[in-house]
Amino acid sequence: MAPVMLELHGLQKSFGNSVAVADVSFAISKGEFIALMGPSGCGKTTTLRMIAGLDKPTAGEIRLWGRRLNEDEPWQREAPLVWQNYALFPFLSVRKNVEFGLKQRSVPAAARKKKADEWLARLGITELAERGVDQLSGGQRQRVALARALVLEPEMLLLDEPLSALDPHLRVRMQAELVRLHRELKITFVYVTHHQSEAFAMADRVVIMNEGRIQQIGAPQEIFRRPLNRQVAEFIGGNNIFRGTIVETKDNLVKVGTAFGDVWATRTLDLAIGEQALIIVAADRVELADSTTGQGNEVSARVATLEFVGATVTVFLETEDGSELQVQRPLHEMEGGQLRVGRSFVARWPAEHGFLLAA
Amino acid sequence: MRSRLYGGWLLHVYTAIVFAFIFAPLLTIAVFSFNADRFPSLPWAGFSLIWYQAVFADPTIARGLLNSLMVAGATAVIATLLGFGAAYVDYRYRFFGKGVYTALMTVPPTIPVVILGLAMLTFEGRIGITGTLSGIVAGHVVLCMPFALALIRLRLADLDPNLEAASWNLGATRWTTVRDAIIPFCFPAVVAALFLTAAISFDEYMIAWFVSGLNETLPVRLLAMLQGQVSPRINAVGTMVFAVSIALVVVAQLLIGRRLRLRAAGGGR
Repeated sequence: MAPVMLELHGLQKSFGNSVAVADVSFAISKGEFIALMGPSGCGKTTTLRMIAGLDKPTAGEIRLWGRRLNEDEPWQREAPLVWQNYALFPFLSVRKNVEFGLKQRSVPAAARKKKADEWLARLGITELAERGVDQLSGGQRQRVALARALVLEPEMLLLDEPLSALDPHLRVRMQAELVRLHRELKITFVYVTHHQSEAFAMADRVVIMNEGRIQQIGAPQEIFRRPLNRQVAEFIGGNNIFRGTIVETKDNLVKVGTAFGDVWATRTLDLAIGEQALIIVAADRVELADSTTGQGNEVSARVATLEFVGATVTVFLETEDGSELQVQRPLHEMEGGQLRVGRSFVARWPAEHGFLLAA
Repeated sequence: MRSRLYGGWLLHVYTAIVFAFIFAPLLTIAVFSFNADRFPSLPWAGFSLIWYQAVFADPTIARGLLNSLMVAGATAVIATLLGFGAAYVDYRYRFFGKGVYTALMTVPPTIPVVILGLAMLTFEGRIGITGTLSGIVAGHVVLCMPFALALIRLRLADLDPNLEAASWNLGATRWTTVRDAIIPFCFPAVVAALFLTAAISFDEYMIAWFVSGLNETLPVRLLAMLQGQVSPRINAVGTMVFAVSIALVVVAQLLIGRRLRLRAAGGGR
């Protein structure tokens, strides 16, 4: 495990009466790609701005390599930020934009230009060097913003929803580019986004935030497979969430009475009979069959809508009592014509793929 | 379509009349300043530069022109500096009494210049700078600063709030951010403010009349000449004053307009 680089301890930030960050603590290792994810207003951008020194914490502490950072002015911190709206200087050419930070560090003009050109080349925008910022497309601006930050050779790069203003196809390309840069530079990336796909595709660890608090920290797969609470499960999507009452416990399994009948799940919480609970079942763990086998959990349901996303298909089903069920299958499994709206299936999943959360 | 055409035609005539009304007197002065005859009457006696020669031969006018240029230059620089500072404070900070602060900053042009001039005379008399060029500059700065403030504030309203933070984030301190980000961003407005305040100062009469004493500026000298005699030299001086003022205003307008066009083009510059 790489050494801890940045630590946030009980970080809080209020603006007047509104609390943006209520209590945030976590540590970031050197060279890690960490994503702060959550719905808008969850405090992820404020947390990033506090790391950059642009917002002063109301309480708590930020430490870099063990040294308290709270009182450092933004210009004393080596943590360049890539802004959502790029925030390039409109009165400077592309090259002068990239040189800006070097100029502040009193790098001589010739060395400045050489370094700026190196980074323009590295990001594939050499031919734009003399252009004005207002002559660039969104994707080009994004590259200039990256070059302007990376030319300082920081040990940590902060990114505030850098891809959200781009077209979807461009976003995917920039995503690959960011991952490549992270791998090559071996520096720490702190990446704020509200897109699950971005965070999960790029980050080593994801911090899920809501209402100024951390809901869960973990590797993407870990969060996806084991959301810690209902908010996380709903936010990351791709999960079935059923409400029910515990009716029976047996070893590490538990039987829960739901609106569409009893289902078995793994006993991940120590709940007594009669208590309310939620069962989480990942959509890709559910199979669709034509007839019952008497094994595992089986619910018959009718196809309500279909959503094709690339090579996967998400099937939304409705049970007889009106409960919703979503199932994600590879497209090739579903080819052959029997998948259509209105058809009935038996949805089936083994007990070990359902687990309990507190209601 | 027809009514629009008619409306457009009427509007053109109306505009032409307005312009004629404004510029006819000025044109008269300019035309008669080149008249060889002593009296401003028709028929024209022929083209001549004698009144301009007379003007340049008159040491009081030359001195008035020099005084006016020095006052206008100093006023423009000081008023624009103060205006920039005031506009930046208004953009950057929130504080108790900010409404009063901005109101006080913008109030001088709304005070009748007679009152302003009289107040300047009384005050400057007490601190002993009446009758000096510095005294005139002080009075003009008070009058001109709000115009510089307004122009620069308009520009700052377009400044992306992240831009200043981006500059800090890249290692620029508060001061170097003002130097390397804020001033370059405001540059067109700063230059426009320099020209506009110079123009206002250059043809301001009332404050200068009250506080100038023996150091007459050109407009003061002009009025003094008018009271003594009616000479075509006045036409010549008037034409020159008008030419200088209008040139300054046109430059200011071009700089402001460039910015507006760029913004209209979606450049956001």
